[in-house]
Amino acid sequence: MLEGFSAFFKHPLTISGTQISMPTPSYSTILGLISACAGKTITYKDTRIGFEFRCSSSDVELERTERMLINDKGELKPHRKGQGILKRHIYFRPKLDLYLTNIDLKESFENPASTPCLGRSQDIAWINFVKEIELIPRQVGFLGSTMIPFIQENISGLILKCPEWFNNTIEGRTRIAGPFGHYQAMLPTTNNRFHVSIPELYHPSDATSEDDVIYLHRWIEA
Amino acid sequence: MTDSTKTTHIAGTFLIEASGSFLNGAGLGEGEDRNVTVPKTFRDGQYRVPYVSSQAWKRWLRNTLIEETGWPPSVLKAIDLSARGTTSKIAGELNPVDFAEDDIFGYMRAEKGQGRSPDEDEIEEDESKKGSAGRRTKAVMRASPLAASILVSLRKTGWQGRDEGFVHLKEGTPLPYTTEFYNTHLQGVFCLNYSRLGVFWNVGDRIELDEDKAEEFLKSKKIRVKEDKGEAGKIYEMVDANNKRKERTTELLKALSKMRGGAKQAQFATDVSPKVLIMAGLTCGNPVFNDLFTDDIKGPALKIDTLKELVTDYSDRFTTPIFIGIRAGYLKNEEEVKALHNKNENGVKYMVTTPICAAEEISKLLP
Repeated sequence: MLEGFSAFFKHPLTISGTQISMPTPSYSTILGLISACAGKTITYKDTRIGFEFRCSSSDVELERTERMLINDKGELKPHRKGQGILKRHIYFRPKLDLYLTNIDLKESFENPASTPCLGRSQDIAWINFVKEIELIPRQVGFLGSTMIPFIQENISGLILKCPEWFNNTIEGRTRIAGPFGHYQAMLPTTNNRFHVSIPELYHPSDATSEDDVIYLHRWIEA
Repeated sequence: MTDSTKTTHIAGTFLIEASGSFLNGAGLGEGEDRNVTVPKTFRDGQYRVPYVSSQAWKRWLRNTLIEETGWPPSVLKAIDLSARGTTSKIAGELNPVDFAEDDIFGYMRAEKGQGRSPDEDEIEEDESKKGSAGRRTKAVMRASPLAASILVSLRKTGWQGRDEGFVHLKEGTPLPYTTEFYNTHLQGVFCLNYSRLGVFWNVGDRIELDEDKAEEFLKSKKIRVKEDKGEAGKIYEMVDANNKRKERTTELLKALSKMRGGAKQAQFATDVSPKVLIMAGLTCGNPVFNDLFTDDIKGPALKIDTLKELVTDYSDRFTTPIFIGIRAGYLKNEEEVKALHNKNENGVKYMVTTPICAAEEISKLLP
C-alpha cells in the first residue's frame, strides 16, 4: 500500500495548455512504478496487476513557466510578457493499493531501489506496508476506484485508450507502445464502491468487507 | 547495526514555521474575491489546506545551494527558436558532470514532435529493429535524483489570516486590496537517491547524457563506461564519482538546513530554514520519514511513538543514526525529543542536535 501528498497521471491527449490527469494510473504507469522499485525492467510477463487508487481531492495547481526570446543581437532575454502560468489538475493525499500475483516482487517493495512516484518526480510516495494475501475468485462484488477494460454504465469515470506497456530496449530510439486497450477509469475522489459483475474479479483476504472485490488485470495478448 | 558504507539513499522530513506567511501564491480568489491574493491550497475533505508546490521550494533550495557554494549555476538557455525568432524551447546546461545542479535536480530537453508515431522511413533503415523500437531520439532527460514532496500545512483549520490593505492616493478614494495568508507549520518529505549522483543512464529512449557530451567526456577522461548493456545502451559514471557524490550531497544537505526563499518576503519575511530536520541513510528508496508531526493550539510536536515504530520496522535498512535536528523552543514535546539522544532502537541510534549540525554530521558518514 503506497501513500503520498500529491499525484498526477498525464492524460495522453493533453500536450500543451491546461494539463488534466487521468482518474487513475494506467497499467503501463504501474509497470514503470514496479520497475523503479525493482531497479530493473518489469514487464507484463512478470506479474498480473490489480489496484485501487483513491485521493482526498482533486484541484488545480499552478506552475510558473519561463518565457524567453532572442533579441536582434542574438541574446537571450526574458519575454516582455513575463513569466507564464500553467494550470495542472492534480490529486492530493493519494493512496494506491497494489495487488501483484508475483510474490517474488515483495522484496522490491520492502527494499525499493528508487523512490516510487505517483506520476511526476515530485509526486513521491512511501510504501506503508507489504504483505502476502490470498485473492479469492468471485463472480460479483463491490469494486473500488480502478481501471477496467469493460464499460459499466452505472459507474462514473473517464473512457480512455491506453497502451498496455511500452518496449524500450534500443539505445537512442523512441519506445514503442504495446497493444492498446479501451478502459474505464473510475473517479478516485469518492470512497464509494460499485456493484459489478465482470470477469477477473477477486476478493482480497484482508478486505474490510466480505463483498469487496478488485479487478485483476488480464493483459491483452500482443 | 548500521553500516554507513551501504548507504544508497538519504531519506528525510522537515518542518518550516510559517507564522503569518505567504510562501506560494495561487493568483486571485474566485467569485467576489477577485481582489484577494490567495496562497495555494487544496481541499482535504471539508477543509482547505495550504501547501507549497515542490517546484517552488526546490527553486529556493537550488538558489540557496548556488549562493552558499559559489558553484556555477545551470543557467537557462534557448535551445530552439520558432519561425518568428522567439524562443520556443529552453533548457539548462544539461551537463551533470560540470554542473552539480544538473546532477542533483535533473533536467529535460524534449524533442520536437516527441510522442508522435515513429517515422516509418527511419525504421526502414534498420529492418532488425522494426517493431521493437521507433525513430532516433534527440531528447535528453534526467529524472531528479532528489525526490521531493509538496510542503503541506499541519493545520487544516484556523490557519487563515487576511491582510486588508489600502493604497492611499494623493487625490481620489483609497484603493483596497486584500492578501490572504497563513499561520501554520509546513511539513516536507524528501529522498535523495545517493547512488545515482555522478551516474548517467543512456538506456532505451531515456538518454540522460547527451551523446555528443558523453563522447567528449570519455575523451577528456571525465567519465567512464560503468556498464555496457549492448544494444539497450550504456551506463556512464564520473571517474571521481565517489568524491563528487559526497561533496554534492554534503553541500545539498547543508543548503537545505539553511534554506532561504519564498514569495512575498518583503511583505511577510518568513524564515523558511527548517526548524526540524530529520534524516538518515538507507539501503532503499522508501521515504520512510513522513507524516511525523502533529499540531494543536500549543504548537507542533513530533510523533515519537510513530518514529520509534518505523525505526524498529526498518532497523535493518538504516545505514546511519537517525539525525534529529531541532531549533530550541519550537517543538511542544522538545524535552521528550531530547531524551532520545544516544538512545537505541534495535541497534539504530538517535542523535538529537540542531538542523544545521544534523546536516553536517550525516555528511561525515557518507560513503
